[in-house]
Amino acid sequence: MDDWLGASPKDVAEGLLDFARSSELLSNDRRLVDKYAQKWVGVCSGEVKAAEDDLDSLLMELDSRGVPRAETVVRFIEREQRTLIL
Amino acid sequence: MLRGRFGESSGRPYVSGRVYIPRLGLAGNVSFIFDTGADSSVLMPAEAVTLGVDYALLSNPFDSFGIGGSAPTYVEHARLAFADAKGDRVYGYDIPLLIHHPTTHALRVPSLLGRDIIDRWRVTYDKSVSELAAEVVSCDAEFPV
Repeated sequence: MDDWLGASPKDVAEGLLDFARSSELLSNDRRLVDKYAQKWVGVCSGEVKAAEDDLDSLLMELDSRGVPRAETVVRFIEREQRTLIL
Repeated sequence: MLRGRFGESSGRPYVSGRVYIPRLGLAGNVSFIFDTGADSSVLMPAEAVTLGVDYALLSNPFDSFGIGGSAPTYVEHARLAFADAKGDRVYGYDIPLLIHHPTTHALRVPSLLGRDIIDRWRVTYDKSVSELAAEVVSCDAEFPV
């Protein structure tokens, strides 16, 4: 099982549920938009762990703080929402 | 039952999944846009770089097409996993995952969950009550937790 998923099902499930909570925080907390507008932010375990002007700096900051990238929601916070057509 | 969410400000539908790329030895969680218009699921540059994808290790790009035109895209065998809302079951999909070339305009575009996965779910999409839920119709592997 671990081979197929690259981790135990328990770790995968717990990690995904925690990640979904962090994603939700990022989407639903309007204060974050004001505080981190035009920044790249990393949210892990329901907390903003770092915020930087560019993605490379954010990833370096996360690494230096020992925040696991694989479990971190990384997103650019736009002050004005762009229209996205996919 | 799998649960997604709608972004508060954007209203965009998202589903969280775990990406595992065996050849590259990489794994991590990704917040995917739920995109019935995408033929395949796509890992976009911000998430790819965050997971540690080394683009120098990718080869044989082909041109994929979207509203913004064409872009070089790579294919890697990957396993995507989604957890039941109660956390008591994990569903796995063995797919060719597209990885978008790191262009400036694509950096802020979220990764896409396409019909290679969505076609295997029975979906409730009701923005009026903020409900995005999926019942798994089929998967490649299923794991009790």
